Amino acid sequence: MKHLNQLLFLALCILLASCSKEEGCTDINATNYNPNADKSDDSCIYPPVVSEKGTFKLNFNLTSSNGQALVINQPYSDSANYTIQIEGFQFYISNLALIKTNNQEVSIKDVDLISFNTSNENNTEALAAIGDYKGIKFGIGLDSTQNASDPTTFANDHPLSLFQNTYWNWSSQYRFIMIEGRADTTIGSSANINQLLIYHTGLNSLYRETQINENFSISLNNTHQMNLTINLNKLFYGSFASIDLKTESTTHATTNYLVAEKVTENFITAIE
Amino acid sequence: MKSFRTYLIFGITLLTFTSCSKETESIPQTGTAYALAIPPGFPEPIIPEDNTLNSNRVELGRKLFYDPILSLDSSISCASCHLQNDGFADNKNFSDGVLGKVTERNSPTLTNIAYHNAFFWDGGNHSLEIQVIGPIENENEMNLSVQVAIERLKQDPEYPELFRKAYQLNEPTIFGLTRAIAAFERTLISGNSNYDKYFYQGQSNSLNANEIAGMNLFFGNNLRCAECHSGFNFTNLNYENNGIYAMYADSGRAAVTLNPNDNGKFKIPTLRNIALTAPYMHDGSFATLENVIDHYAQGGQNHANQNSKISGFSITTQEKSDLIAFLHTLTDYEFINNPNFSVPTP
Repeated sequence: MKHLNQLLFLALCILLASCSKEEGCTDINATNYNPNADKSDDSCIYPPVVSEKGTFKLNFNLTSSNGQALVINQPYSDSANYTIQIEGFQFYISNLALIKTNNQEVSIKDVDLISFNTSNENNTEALAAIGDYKGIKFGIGLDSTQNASDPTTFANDHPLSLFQNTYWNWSSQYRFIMIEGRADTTIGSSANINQLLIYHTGLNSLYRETQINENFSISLNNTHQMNLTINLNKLFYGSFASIDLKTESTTHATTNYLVAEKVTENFITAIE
Repeated sequence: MKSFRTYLIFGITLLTFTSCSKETESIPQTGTAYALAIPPGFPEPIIPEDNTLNSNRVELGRKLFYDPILSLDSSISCASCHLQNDGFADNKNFSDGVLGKVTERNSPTLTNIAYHNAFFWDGGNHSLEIQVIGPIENENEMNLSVQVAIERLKQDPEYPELFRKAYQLNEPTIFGLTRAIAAFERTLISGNSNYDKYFYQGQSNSLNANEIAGMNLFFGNNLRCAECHSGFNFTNLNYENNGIYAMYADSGRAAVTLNPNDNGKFKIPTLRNIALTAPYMHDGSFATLENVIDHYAQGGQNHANQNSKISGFSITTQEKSDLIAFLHTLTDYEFINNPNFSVPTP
C-alpha cells in the first residue's frame, strides 16, 4: 500500500509536469520564445514595434457637370442636356493596397462601403506603415470570396452586414455600385423629372481593380490624404460606352447586364 | 498487484493524454439535442456547423415561422404560404403578400427541404439560412426590412429570452433569426407515406394493384418520370426546361446564371406530398396532376432549351388513372398531422 501511495504521488507529478512544461510562449518572434512549448499561454513579450504607422485616408467626392459638386436630391443639367437628380449613390471599395516604390503592394483595408446618400463627400481610411509610396490600388465591388460572404454573420455596422441594404437575397450576393435617381430626358426640359434611374451592378464578372499612380509618403502618426473625384458625366458618357439615360435607365446586373457593364467600366474611368 | 499496477499506469497514461488534448471550440449549446427522425431509406441531411439542431433552436424557429410579426402589417407569416395541410405549400397559383400584392411564383413545398442544396425556383440562393431573408424583405411577400424585424423582436416580451436560450445571443439578431427558422424547416422531414411503407418498410399491402401499376409506369422506360424525379426525394435537384411554354415570361434559372441556355429552366421539384400542392409548375399553370401528365404526354412546346427527354408518350386513360393513384401514395398523412410541425401553442 505504501508503494501504491508513492506511485500515485509520482503519477500526479508526471501528470502536472507533462502539461505545464509544454506551456509557454510559442511565437518565435517574441523575446521570451520557448522552443519547448507547444501550447501558448499568452505570455509572449515582444520587442518594441519598429514599423511605425501613419494613416492613409482616401477621400471621394462626386461632381456633376463642369466639376461642380453634386448635391444629392437636387437636379442638375448634364452634358446631354438632360435633367438628372441623383437620390442615392453607394459603392464598395475593396482590397485597398498601397504600392511601395519597389512595387511591393501593402494591403491596408479589405472592404468599405462608400456612401454619398447624405453628402457628396465620403472617405475610407486605414493604418499604413510609414514609408514612400508611388500609388494605390483598389477594387470597385467585391472579389468573389467577399461576394460569397454570409451577410447575417457581421456586426450591424460592418460594410458587408445585411443591415447595409446592399445584399441581393434572391441571388445570394452583393450589389457593387448602387446609383438611384430620376431624370427628365426631354432635351432642355426639367418639367418632368420622373423617369426612374436605377443602376445596380454586381456579379463576380463585374469586379474591377484600378490603380492610381501618385507619389506620397506616410509619416509617423500623421494622416496622408488622397482626394479622388467621381465625375458623373464620365460615368454616364464614359470612354467605354455612353449610356442612353432614356432607354438604358435600369439595370440589376442580371437584368440589362450590358448596362451594368457600361456603368462598371465607365466608373473606373470616371475616377480622377 | 502487478495487474493492478498495470491498470493504474494505463489509467494515468490515458489521463495524461486527455488532460493535454486540445480543447475544441464550439458554440455552447443549451436545450436538449434534437435528433431528426430519419425515415428508413433516407440519408442524414447536411447541417451547417453554426446551426446544429437543438430543441430551443427548433422551437424558436417554429414560433417565428408561424408569427406574423415578420410581415409589414403583421398580417401574414411564413405559414400563410407554406401550410402544413397543403404539404407546406399552398393551393394558389401565386400567393398573397401584404397590401394586396401577390408573389411572382408559385409557393414551393418545404417537404424535405433539409435535403436541398439551393433555394427558390431558380436556385439563386444556396443557404437555407440566408434564404429566410428573401420572403421577409420581398415587397410582394412580407415586405419588412430585416432591421425593422429585428427591432420588433427586441421589443417583444418573449423573443429576447428565446434567442438567448437558443443561440446565446444577448438580443435578437439577424444571425439568430435566419438560423432559427432554418433549424425548424430542417425538421420538416416526410418519409412515411404509403409508398415509403411499401418500398422502404416492407409493407407489401400498403399499395393496391392500381397504385403498383402506376408506380411501374412512373419508374418505367416509357414515361421515364424518374430520370428527373429520382432518388428518395423524387428530384435530382437539377434545373430543366420542361417545355410548358414556347416563350417564357419568367426566365427562371437564366436570371441567376445569365446564360441564355438556362432560359425557362426551373428547379425540379420533389414529388413528395404532390397531391397536396396543386396547382403545379413555377407559375401554377397546371391545375391538376392530370393536366401535368397530359402536358408530358403531349411533349411540350419545343422551347429551344426544352429537355430532350420530354418528347411525348402515349398513355391510356387507365394508365393515367394508375399514375395519378401512385402520385397520391406519396402523400404523408403523418407529416401533415404531426403536432411538432403545427402552430405552437402560446
